[in-house]
Amino acid sequence: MKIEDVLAKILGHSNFKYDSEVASIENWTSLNHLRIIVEINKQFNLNLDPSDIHGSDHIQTILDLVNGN
Amino acid sequence: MKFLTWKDDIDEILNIKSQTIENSTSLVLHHNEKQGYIPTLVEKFCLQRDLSIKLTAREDKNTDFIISQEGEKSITTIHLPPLIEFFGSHNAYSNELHNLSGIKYSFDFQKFVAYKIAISILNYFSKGFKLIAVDGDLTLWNGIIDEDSITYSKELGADRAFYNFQRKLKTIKTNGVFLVLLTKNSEKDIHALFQKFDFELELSDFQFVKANFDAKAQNLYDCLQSLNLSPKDSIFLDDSIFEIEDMNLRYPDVSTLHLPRSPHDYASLLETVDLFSTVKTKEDLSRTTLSPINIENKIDKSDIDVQIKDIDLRDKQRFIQLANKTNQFNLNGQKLNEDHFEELLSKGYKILQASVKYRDEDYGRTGYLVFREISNEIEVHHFFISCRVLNFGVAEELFIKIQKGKRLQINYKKTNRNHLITKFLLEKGLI
Repeated sequence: MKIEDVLAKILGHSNFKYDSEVASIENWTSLNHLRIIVEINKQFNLNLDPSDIHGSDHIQTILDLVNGN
Repeated sequence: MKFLTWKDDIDEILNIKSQTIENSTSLVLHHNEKQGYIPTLVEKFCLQRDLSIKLTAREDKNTDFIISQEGEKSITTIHLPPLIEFFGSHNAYSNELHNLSGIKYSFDFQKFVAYKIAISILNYFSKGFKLIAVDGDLTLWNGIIDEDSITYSKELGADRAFYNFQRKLKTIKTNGVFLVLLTKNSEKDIHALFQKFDFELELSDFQFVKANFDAKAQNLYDCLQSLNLSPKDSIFLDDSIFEIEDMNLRYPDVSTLHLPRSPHDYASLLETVDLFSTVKTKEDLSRTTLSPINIENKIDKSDIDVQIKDIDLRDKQRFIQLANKTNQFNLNGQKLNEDHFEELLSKGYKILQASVKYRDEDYGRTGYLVFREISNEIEVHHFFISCRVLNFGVAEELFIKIQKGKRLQINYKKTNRNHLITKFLLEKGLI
């Protein structure tokens, strides 16, 4: 599974790009934000803390976190 | 701009953006639990007051939240047990979030704690408000001044609620914050009101009393200029969403708070905001004071709903009441009674009634125009509108309804007080 698939699964659509601001993406709520992190942890065997990703205003920032950049 | 407190939607708070993120101050938040959105929310609340901080969460043994500057002593400690008790443990915790992500606090409690932390940080950095501008009708007192009297709110126990609100404002004023009254009433009526009622606040408690029918943004601008304060130092409170949005459009740097529906919640709202610092000196003299945006009718007119219909007998009492209360926007100042009403109808006059809504705020029946057609002319016999809806385009709507290209004959008579309708008629070339 790719990150895009995780996002599409939680958000219910795939209308986003890497440079999309999360605030502008439909269904990107605070609760779904948490669900995304939890699902990313599960799918990629990571241990991101929800508070680690505060300030992740763009999808690319989350990708960087997942990739350890 | 709308000032967000912990009671607002979490996503709205998380979307707060700053125009001036520079030189963030690094702070550390110590706690022994997963903190969820608390650090982000604290940053966002601080950004509203132009304080850019970078809050790093650090887990340690503390069960309270401790904020410190890196390597320095703590700025503040937020003890959680009293907050949980205040909030109710069933509201403070969320099983759903705990099961999902290991965060045990509910979103509402995270906002609440974040707000408390933010207030402490803001006060530490002297970022409180220095001026509160408040509306009058239904904000400071329990009713609407209809020029010569007050129409009371029907809400039970509301007098006490307004008293508590005034008392809280007085306390804030005692702490050195300027109070300003912005009200769309005449100065004479406001003086009469404060003489008649034994309010907790006295007129002398206000640094400025702006009682007129100009835009509140312009009045506030004049006050800020006089005090050499920046718009960002001020917060404006009003029960009318129209006035709040008008201020947001004209003077976006002023923080605004729309008061809750019930006056019983007014005082607690001020406690919630709790961001009023003491004015110690005029240290901000060098700051520029930005002017309000010069706009005309920038409020989205599609949000204003003016319904015009022929009057029916159920409206008779309201017609007479408004005719006798309205002075500033009254065509001739003539006082009317039931006999006059019957006489007008018997002589073939038609009476149009305007009712106004702004979004979900219902201003009710607020304007009447009495006219009749005589061959190619329209004779406007009476015309009066409540001052509460002066900027809503009611007068224009009524004239559009009757004119239809015919010549108007206006039964205008200048009185000591009808300067507003005089101005309107002159602007429209009707007198």
